[in-house]
Amino acid sequence: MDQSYVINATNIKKHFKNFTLDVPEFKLPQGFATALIGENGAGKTTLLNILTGIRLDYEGQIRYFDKYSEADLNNIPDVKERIGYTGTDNYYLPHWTVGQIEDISSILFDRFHPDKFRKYCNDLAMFGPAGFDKSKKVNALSDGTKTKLMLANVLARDTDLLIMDEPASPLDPLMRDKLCELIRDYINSGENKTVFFSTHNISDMESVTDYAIIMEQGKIVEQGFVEDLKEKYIVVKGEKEDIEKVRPILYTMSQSNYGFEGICLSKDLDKLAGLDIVTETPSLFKISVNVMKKNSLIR
Amino acid sequence: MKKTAYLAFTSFSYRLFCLLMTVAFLVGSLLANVYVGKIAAILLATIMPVMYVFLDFFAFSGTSSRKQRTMNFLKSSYHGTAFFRSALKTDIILKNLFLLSGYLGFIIAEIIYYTDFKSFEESMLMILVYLPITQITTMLTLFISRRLSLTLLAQVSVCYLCSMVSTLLFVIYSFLLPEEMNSVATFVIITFVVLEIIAITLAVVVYKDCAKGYDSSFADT
Repeated sequence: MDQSYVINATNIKKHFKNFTLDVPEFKLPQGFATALIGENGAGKTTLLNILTGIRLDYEGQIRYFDKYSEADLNNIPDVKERIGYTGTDNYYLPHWTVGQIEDISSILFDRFHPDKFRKYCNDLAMFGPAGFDKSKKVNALSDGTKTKLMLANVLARDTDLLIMDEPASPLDPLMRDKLCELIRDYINSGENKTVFFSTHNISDMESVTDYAIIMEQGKIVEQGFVEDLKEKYIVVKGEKEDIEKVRPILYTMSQSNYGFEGICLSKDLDKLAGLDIVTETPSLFKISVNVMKKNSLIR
Repeated sequence: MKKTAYLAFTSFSYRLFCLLMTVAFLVGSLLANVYVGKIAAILLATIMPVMYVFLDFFAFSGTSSRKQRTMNFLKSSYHGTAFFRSALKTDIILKNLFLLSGYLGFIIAEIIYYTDFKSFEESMLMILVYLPITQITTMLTLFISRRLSLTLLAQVSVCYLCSMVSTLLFVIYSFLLPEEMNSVATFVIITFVVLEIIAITLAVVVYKDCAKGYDSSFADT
């Protein structure tokens, strides 16, 4: 079956003083949850802002829902209506109240349901046992509650694509688990519902991640379905005396007094034949960290 | 029923305070005219801009700053730009109406306690100059405060300074008035028209500057 893509972008470029985002090709698979992974300053937020139309000063072409161009994003109401976006900070004005946000959402989005918004606010226990409090100001909310508010807001809309910038970071472990559940429910709530989120909390979000894109220094350095990535890479552990033999073969490696642990491409595993090694399937966290390590400026 | 952009963008407490202040200025200026006299108009011209600019901090502070990155929520909607512009436009119009209402109390007092035409004419001519000066002071300070994302204290300080300067200018202006009453009326009406054009232009500038601030937040430049 051919995979369809909800966003198809080519030659995306954005130059800053000391940084350039350069993405020759970007495809977001439809009907899946995709994680955007990368170290701080890798360009994740810039890419998300470009895709959502928050940032317009870039080069490149973007196609949405296999139908609309990047110009349509600001010319045809349906495009932004179908995309739900949650940011980090700078999302709501600090003096806005929850009630104002509900009112503003009703004006801004044709398919916003206030009753759903209140339900999500209560389900996420945003205001404690007292329930929905529309007089609560944004600047009185904790970072975690602000994220919950953004989530309640986008989930109360009828959208086809959710784009979320670091939704898990300010959340506690319980709420991260709930976030995974919400993402899964969203994906299952209709055909071709798609979620795209950036995250540093790879382990917490792994259960909900179908597809992963890893960025480093403004470039996509690895991407693929998680199951495919887990077949592409393999964790290798071995004794200290074999370190020099495996070093050129392993993708990345860390060593201790007892031995080494690294990751290598599965296709290179044959080259390690005869050595006393143990292999295991890597987690997405391990793949991501090692791919980032390989491409990072951090030494 | 959906609220208007202005009603949704501004909080209930902001609107309530604006309304209460307007009523207070209306009644206050009426009583001040009766018990203090025409000189109270100077006080009104100084206090009104300070109070409205003070309140503005709680709704539109920093919205025209070129560094503002605070409204990604609005930017994620197709209607975001139109929504923000509509709220801004309504606010600027209302602020000017509120300023007008402050002097309305003054005019009402003149009508109620009418003694002679000369005194009435003097008061009206005075208001014709004070009103646009108050508008100009308010718009000018709004332009500065919204652009620079000032703190509340800095915002009020700038406005107070502007009010003092405008009052000083009015005092200087009063010395320039001709001796003859007929000439004074003509002079004042011409001044009013000129100042009002400046005030309206400034209001448009404040609105456009805020809208431009929002538009520029889609890019770094």
